[in-house]
Amino acid sequence: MTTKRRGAAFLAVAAASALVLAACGGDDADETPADDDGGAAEEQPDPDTGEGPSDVEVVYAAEQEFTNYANNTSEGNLLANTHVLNQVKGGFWNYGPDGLVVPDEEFGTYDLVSDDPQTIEFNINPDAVWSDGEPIDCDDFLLGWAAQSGYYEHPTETTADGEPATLFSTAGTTGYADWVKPDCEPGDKTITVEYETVNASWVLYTAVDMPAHVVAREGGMASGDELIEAIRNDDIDALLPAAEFYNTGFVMSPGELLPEEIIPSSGRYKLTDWQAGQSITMEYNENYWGTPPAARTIIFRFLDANQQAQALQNQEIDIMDPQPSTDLVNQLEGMAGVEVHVDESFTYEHVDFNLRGDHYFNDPNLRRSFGLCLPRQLMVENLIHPQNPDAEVLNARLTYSFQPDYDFQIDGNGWEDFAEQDIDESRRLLEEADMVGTEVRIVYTEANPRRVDQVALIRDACNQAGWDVVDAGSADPFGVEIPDGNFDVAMYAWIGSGYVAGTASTFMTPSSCTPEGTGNNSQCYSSEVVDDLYRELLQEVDVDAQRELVKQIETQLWADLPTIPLFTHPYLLAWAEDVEGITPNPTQQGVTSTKHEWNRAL
Amino acid sequence: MAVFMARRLVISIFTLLAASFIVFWGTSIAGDPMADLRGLQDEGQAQQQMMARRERMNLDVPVILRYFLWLGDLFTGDLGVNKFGQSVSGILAPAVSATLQLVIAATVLAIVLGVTIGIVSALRQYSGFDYTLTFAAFLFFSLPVFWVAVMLKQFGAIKFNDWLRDPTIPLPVILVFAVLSGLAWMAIAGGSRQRRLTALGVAFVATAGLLWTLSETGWFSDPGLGVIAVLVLAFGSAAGVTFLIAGFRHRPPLFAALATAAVGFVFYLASEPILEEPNWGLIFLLALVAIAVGLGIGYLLGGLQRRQAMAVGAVTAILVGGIIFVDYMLQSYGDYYGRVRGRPISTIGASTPNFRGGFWESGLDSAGHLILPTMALLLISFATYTRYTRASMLEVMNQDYVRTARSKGLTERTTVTKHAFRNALIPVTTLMAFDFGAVIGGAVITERVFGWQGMGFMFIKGLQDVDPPPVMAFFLIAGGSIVVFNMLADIAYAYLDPRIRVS
Repeated sequence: MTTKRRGAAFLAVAAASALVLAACGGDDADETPADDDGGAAEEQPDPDTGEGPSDVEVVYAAEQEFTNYANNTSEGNLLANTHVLNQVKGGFWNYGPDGLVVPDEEFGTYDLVSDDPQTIEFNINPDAVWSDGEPIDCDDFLLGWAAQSGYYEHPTETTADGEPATLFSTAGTTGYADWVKPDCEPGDKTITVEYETVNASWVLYTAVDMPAHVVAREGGMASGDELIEAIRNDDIDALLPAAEFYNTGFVMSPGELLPEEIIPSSGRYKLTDWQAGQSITMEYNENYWGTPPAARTIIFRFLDANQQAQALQNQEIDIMDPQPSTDLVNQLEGMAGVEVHVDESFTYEHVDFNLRGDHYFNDPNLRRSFGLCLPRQLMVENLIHPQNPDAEVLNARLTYSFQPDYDFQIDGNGWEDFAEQDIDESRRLLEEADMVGTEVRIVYTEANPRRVDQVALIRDACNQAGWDVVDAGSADPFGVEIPDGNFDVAMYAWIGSGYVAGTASTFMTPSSCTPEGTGNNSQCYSSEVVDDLYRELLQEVDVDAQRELVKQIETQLWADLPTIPLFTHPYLLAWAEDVEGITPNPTQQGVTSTKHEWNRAL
Repeated sequence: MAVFMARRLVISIFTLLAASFIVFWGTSIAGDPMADLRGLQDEGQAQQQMMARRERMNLDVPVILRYFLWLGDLFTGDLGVNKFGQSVSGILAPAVSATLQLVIAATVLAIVLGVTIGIVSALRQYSGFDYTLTFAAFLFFSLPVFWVAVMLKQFGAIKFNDWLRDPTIPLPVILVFAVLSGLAWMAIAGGSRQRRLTALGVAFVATAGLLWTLSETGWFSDPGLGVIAVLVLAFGSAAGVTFLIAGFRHRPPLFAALATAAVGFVFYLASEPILEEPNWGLIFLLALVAIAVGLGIGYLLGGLQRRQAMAVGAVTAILVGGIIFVDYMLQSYGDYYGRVRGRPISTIGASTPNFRGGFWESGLDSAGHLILPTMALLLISFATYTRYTRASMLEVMNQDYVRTARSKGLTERTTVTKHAFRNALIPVTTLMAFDFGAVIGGAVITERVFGWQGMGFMFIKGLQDVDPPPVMAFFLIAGGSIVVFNMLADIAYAYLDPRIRVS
């Protein structure tokens, strides 16, 4: 279910934007003349000729301040940075609204050219240059691989576990670690990469990220060619100063934007101004080789989520996408001149059973009993419908209910057994095991009021079935209770993506049931069937075969019931109605991934 | 004195040290420092980041040792890095500057207004004015600031900006304002029945007329003063200042004030080349020149009342300067209004992003952003000042030396301004010192609601992120300034009140 929908996703985005554009175009006539004598008209010297971007600003409200240009280092990998750097650092693809890759063919193209060995050919656009004029080519590609693959070990530093640290700081080596060391000549724009082991999610790994000529220069090398040479020869001594710059040189203190020679842009916008604690500005990159963006200027204002609604109403911001709450949704829907979009996000709530050692939940009938008394429908109705009236109970763990493949995935996978809450059956199972009155401690983050309500609903329902549900809310469940296995049921949310490879660590047998060993598999679930299916899935390139495998895993998970999905979290987006070109995007990359389409109706 | 100060300082340092440990410990155990990384299902990414953060924050070391690691770094002048790897000193500098920008104006205004109104309500004790203000002070003091702030944003910014599209005031509203103003002035004027009724009538007519004219002429869509208004205001303030400081019994102070106003007005007429595009340095210089001119005129024309005349001249000069300043700023209102799409009052932030205007436009921009948070802070701290000043003034007015002053035939104004007012300010001075000390710590809620990332924001964010270094930086600055200003308050008290001797 990965690559097949690439084209479809792209088309969907294009169609959606066209619709939005068309809809907003129609609104122009409704503008009251009173608005025009203000200033909006004055600041537009001449109408957009279609050559460059139109001379307008669009303001997005961001909750977190920007910190780092290198957002693939372990320090810099924050969503706040990703949102700023979308369309500032260009790349081969973006996440589309359905969580699948949407290629950006103006940057370059890449495709699978051989299955055995799995080989990908990358073609960077011949015109693609950094905003300082340096072509985007081989050196940038190799640096991206060297930094993100963890291929080089640091000569002196070690991690806390005593392992050698990687030379380049990286947020994760997944994907790149499977590459055969790539090679290319200085100036190459076409690069071929082979995978050592087949990787089903190959579309995600495209290397180019940071400007290699800057890293080389600041690392004391004459040019990117020297960096290519050092990578070819695995010359750690030569790479060390460059890596040190890469790891720390792109970190910025609030308001202290590095000069453009350090942070050249490879996308449609470049960072031009940063007021500490206030805003960061990106403007049209004049050296961008492709279609110019719609608006010349995009501004991110740093603003606490609670203040965004009034700021939107006062037209100080144009777009906001905070965590929704019922009050906020109602407030926004009551405002004139504001478009509100509520949908589902790539985050789903679930309960996990503790399957460690001889915990009573190792008895499948008890898991079943608890699953049958869970008021899943009631939770959605009471807690989610006030925000998103279309929300439904989620019946899959690997696929989100808004994804096109969902219906296929849940068809006959076993969720039907739990479609209806069945207190009587739940009690019968409990009595059969002679466990009536068993205490179930539900551990969750107590700071989340919605989860407090969820536990209350579960207690009401499951106590009727004979369980004794205990609210075990914790200030730090992920640091203490969950890794220690000090819970009966854990309730939290997974933030996922359209690519199921990320779910492997949640359901594959952990290395051990210790705090260090379980990782994402907090329930400590182990099934050889699921392990084998995942191993196959991670190396399966064919989309239809992937779908079948995902379905088999899902069916097995419903049979074994290590976790039960509850619902997807709502996604909220609101924008001023004179702003157009907004594509809601519930992925982690967010609405900012298409910021180059934002525009303001004049 | 020196011994006293040294002892205080040493004790304070130990207090701070002990408190710093408690703050560090509390912050460290306040939750999960990895909270933002939990739940990412793609394990590779989250694990790497958690490992890096664990190392950066020394999470494998017990909290007590972590504190000493932090303390050791502090002694080498290193405030450390936050959990995202940013240097804390880099975060601290903009936070301090944002807080100072936000809070200083509000504190100064609260002091000036609070003291003035406190004095007036003490002088008019048990009048309607006094009761109303007492009620208002308690009301404002007990309002929750987040609620006030949200209301201010809704009505002071959003509705007000909407209203600016067609800024006319309906007649009933004009009448209500006029009646309120009339009642207020009636209470302030005090004295005989006729005097009070005159005050009521004049204030009613003046307010109603002013509002009606402003509404009808569309003044709110392009506010400005213009030559006539500057002239009227300049001479009006000259008369007012004279009335307050010297009275009209002797002529020289009045002449000094009027002459100062005239010089100011002439300067205004010729000021275009200088004030077209000034900077703060120039404005400061001009303020000094204005004071000097005022003093000079007072000296020359003062005669027997030379000291009073000099004071009157200087204060008048500053007021006229202020009027000219406001006039220039309003002249650029039209451009600014267009630039912000017709919404000059902001709900968030310190400035419009990328606003590149001249001195006056930027000034307007700052004013538009500062006005609401300043009002929110003002409403609350102003209550303390009025109550303190009123109490202190009432106490002083019953002192023997005030009775002596009255019995030797001094006018009521001289008694109040020279004998009572100064002594009444002594306790208020210490309050001011405390207040400034606390101000540096930021206004946590106001900053948050109005989107200012100052000290208070840094503290709260550090606490929520379970990230000790920024919280400790906040603590050092805020705690340090409280210690310093408390000491300054003691010293000032000892200096101002000769009855107090420190030993």
